[in-house]
Amino acid sequence: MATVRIHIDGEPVDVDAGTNLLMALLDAGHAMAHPCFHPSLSAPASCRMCLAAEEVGDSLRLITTCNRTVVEGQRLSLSHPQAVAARSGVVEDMLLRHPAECAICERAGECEVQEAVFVHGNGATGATLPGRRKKVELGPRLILDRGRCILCTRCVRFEAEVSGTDALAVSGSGADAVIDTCGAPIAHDMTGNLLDLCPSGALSEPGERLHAPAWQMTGISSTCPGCASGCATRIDVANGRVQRVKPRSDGADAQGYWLCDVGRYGWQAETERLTTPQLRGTAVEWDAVFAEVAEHMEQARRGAILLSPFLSNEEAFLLGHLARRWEADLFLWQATDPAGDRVWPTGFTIRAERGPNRAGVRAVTQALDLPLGDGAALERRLGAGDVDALFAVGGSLHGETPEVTVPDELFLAVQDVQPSTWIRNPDAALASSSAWTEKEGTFVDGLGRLQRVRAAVEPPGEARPDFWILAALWHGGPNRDSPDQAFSRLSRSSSSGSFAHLDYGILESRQRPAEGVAFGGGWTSQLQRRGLIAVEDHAKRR
Amino acid sequence: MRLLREIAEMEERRILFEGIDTPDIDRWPVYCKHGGGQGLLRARSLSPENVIKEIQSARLRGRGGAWRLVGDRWQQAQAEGGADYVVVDLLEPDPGRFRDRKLAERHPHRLLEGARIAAHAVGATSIFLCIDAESLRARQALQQAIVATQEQATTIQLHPARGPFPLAAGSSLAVELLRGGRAEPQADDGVAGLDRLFAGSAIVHSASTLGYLPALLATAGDVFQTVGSEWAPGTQAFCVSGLVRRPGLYEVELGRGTVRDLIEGIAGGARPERAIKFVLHAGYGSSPVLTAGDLDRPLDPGLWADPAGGPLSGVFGGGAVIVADDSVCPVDTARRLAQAYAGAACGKCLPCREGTAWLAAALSRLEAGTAQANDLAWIIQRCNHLTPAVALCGHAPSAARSIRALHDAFPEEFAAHLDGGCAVAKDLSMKVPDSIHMRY
Amino acid sequence: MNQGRPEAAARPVVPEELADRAHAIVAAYPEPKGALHPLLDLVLSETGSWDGTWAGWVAQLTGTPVVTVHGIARSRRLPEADGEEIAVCTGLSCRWMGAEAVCQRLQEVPNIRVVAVNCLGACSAAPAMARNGRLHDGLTPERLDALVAGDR
Ligand code: SF4
Ligand code: SF4
Ligand code: SF4
Ligand code: FES
Ligand code: FES
Repeated sequence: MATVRIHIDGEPVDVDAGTNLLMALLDAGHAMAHPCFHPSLSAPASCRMCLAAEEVGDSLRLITTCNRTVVEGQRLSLSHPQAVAARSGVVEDMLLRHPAECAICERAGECEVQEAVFVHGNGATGATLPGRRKKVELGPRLILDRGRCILCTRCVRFEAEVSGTDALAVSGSGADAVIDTCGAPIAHDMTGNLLDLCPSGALSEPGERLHAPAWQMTGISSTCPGCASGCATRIDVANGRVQRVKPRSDGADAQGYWLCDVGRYGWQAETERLTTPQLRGTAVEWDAVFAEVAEHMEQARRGAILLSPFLSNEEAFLLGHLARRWEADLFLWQATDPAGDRVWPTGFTIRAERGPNRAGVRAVTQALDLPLGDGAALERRLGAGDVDALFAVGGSLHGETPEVTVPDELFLAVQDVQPSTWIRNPDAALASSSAWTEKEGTFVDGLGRLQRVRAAVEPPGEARPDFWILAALWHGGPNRDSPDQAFSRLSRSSSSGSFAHLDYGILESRQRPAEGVAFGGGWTSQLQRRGLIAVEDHAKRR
Repeated sequence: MRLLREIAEMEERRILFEGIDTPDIDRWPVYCKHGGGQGLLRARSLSPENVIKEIQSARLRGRGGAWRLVGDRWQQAQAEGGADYVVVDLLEPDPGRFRDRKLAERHPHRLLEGARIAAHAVGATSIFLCIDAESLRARQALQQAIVATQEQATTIQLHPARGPFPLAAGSSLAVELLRGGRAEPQADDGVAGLDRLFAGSAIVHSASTLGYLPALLATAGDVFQTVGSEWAPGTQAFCVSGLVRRPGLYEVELGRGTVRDLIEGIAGGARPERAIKFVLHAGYGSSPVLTAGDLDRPLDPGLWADPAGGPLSGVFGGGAVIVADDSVCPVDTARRLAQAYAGAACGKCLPCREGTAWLAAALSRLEAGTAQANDLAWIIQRCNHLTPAVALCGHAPSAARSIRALHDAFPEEFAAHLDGGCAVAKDLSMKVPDSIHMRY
Repeated sequence: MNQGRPEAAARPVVPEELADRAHAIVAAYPEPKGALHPLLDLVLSETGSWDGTWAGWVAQLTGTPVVTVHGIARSRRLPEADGEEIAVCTGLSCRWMGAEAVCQRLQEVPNIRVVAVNCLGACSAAPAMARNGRLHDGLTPERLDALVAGDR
């Protein structure tokens, strides 16, 4: 691609032709607040914050950078007094009616209004107007605080351009303009994104403060297990608990800057968990379960293993080896949403394929050269009485489960996160981890991308991560085998296949950092962590 | 004696409003009988390129306030493959300006003829007349004229939209109204070219600009040969209102006289026993404020900083001249202006939405004598901040410029209000001028 | 997934003649969306006020989301629902030429609501006012009295 040379404060910078000028500035490490701009939405250039002085001949003129493309030879000055004053003036304008309530605002710490004040403000707030105070419910999951709203219209544009529901509009004009639904509640499967893209604390979820303050949370990079789209997520943890799930992206990851509400809120669903290993309905120690399962599966003449699309590659890898040891046949069930793929106008898709890793499990069995049947094939074998011991893995996050009728007489072990209702009471129940936030490993999504999944918290009670359970079965007891090692072994055994020449290190280097989301708050801290700006710079500039 | 000389020197010179006194000129047969339609006939006998050349050499400039050369804009449009639509901007939200409305009400065929000539030049087949829905008389007159001259070649559609509209918002406002969007302008993205409209492109002209075309085409540009200044040939119709003896619409030659000639000469000057205090020379947003001392500025946009980069500071504007005498308080004026600007702000961009509202509130306090100590300093500071580019369109900058200019002209009166005092004996009674020029 | 485009629950009863006019307006634009502002004006001048039930009608005719139509309508100058309204211009020229006196005189007349508006575009014939959309300019005390008297 052709590159273009621009000059920022005298420094030459080469960027791809066609790059958005503001993005070029941000990528070059310049702190520039951009409350109305979002890279995945149209640019109205209405907040007037991203001003730079452009040299035209001998004169200077101010331009907004967010609605322009880089031009060869362009000379910009961000530090010109005129540009600095203009930006700090816009910050003052923004604060004229903005309530001074950071102390009680959920958004504090990752608020673009605060960030704008931080990078451009000159510390002066002499003028104020009476603020507006009106909280309105926009939908079941969304509250709008009009006092905090800076009318950037990101939300309006999101509803028009991304969700395609046109649920919001600006109503009224001038200083009376407000964001409004005009009565029709917002209820679709993408509403959570509005919380991310709102630059201020105007949009929030109903209820008390739902999560810990931004500065107490640690972000853990993971991949959404909600469907086969494999959206990149960041699981925010504080006080040993998951606080929320957010999209993790600089725009290059799976589905841009968005996450659907399934992926964002799915982990919150209160499901009854299986918290103890059990033998015939009675809670026992893990060792007893391992012994029982190993004994029956090894003795079986026609053993079978039912794999789950919610298993990680590493877990599937161990089960593949167990299948060899037990001489059991492998089957893989499928979780499908009967409603089909749900595709949004920009192409964002919630896949009908709800298991996040069916492709990965298949690839693992291929790498191990093991034949794989589907759920129906297993059902036929069971019907024909051709199975005498079955090790089945559940793990469904949405309630879609395989249809298998298991006769009472054969030995049944089930590894699942909840008491299994989809299958008869098992002889051995192995309490395992939920794919939402407790799994460590890798997934291969519907487009064939291999991505890391990370555990943010531990499974409840005596329940254990799937990998730990399977490794114990393989090694004959609890041990230190890790998904990392398993993946390397998988990589080696798939010398020409999907996993060849890879390890976690390589995957990590390909993955975007978990810290900071470039848009929707936190961009200054991202620049800071990347070493591009320093706090002292701003202190000095005041 | 001075006065006499100036009256003699400055007289009306009608090109745009030529024939407006003819009874029933708004009817097609009457319009034709008085030479109407010849410009279009001749234009259509020429190729678009030749029409453009004629207008280029006549150096017709847009009368909306930006004073760009119409011929050059057409040539650019041609270079882009022509425009599909001609959009006529009749919104005229600027205080004190009523020229386009008068033209539409009284001389609709001249406007339509001009629009059709422009359409021929840029290759458009549709014309939209974007007008304030509340200008009922103008709408009626234009509708009748449209019906009377229906033809296959070009369709003309009246596009009424309800206000309020921002001032000096540029051409994208009318286009946005045609797109069915909010009454908001689009930000400059540095990409030159025609506005996009529907699946095609549009060129936007102010109504008065188009009103010159029939005369120019009918005479092959002759009417501009000897009239007007070098930078801006032709005339300008000034809307003179406020406290003068003969307010009205005066079409005068550009570059011939001064603001004083216009106000004290042709418009009769101050009412008896009153003196002119200041003049808002406006109509494209507002500014500057001319005090009695600087009325000798020539009426030639080519000499003003805006639009021509000339030596005279301030904006020449779009032809509104609002005259205040010594019964007027500049602080009160600034407050009214600020309120009007705040009320007409579209709300799209942050600095104007919040800034004009704050200015209106602060100036109200100042005027009422309840200002806080810092208010005046902040008013000036906010005005200095609201420059073009900081706001998305010209609305907020023109508000800021006018307020700032009023302050700079009368700093003592502003300062006096901080202590609650207004020294002006305001006269808010109903007044009747000697006459009203060009009133129909 | 269509909550943003609720087919407005309450639909206005649209007289046939009005519907015909609306369709004619829509037909004059290459894209129906272009007719939005003229249709808003049509509704406002026919019904005298903005009643939300019309948003659905305009939305359907123009292929615009209902909420967008609402938002735009509410950003326009809207007449009040009832009572006679006189809009007195309080723009600069009118203010100086006696708008306040006009307001005072009108306020004495029962059943008239006086609203102050910005420039009505008749500045050379100030003071001016608009009544039922009709402009009355060049007001003098006598003309004003005659106008008010004509009411009774
Ligand atoms: S609610 Fe948030 S996203 Fe929407 S306009 Fe207000 S500040 Fe912007
Ligand atoms: S689309 Fe699928 S992967 Fe993406 S967030 Fe939604 S459920 Fe998760
Ligand atoms: S300056 Fe901004 S808010 Fe004001 S009228 Fe222009 S676009 Fe609208
Ligand atoms: S104007 Fe550029 S970010 Fe808002
Ligand atoms: S000021 Fe009243 S009509 Fe313009």
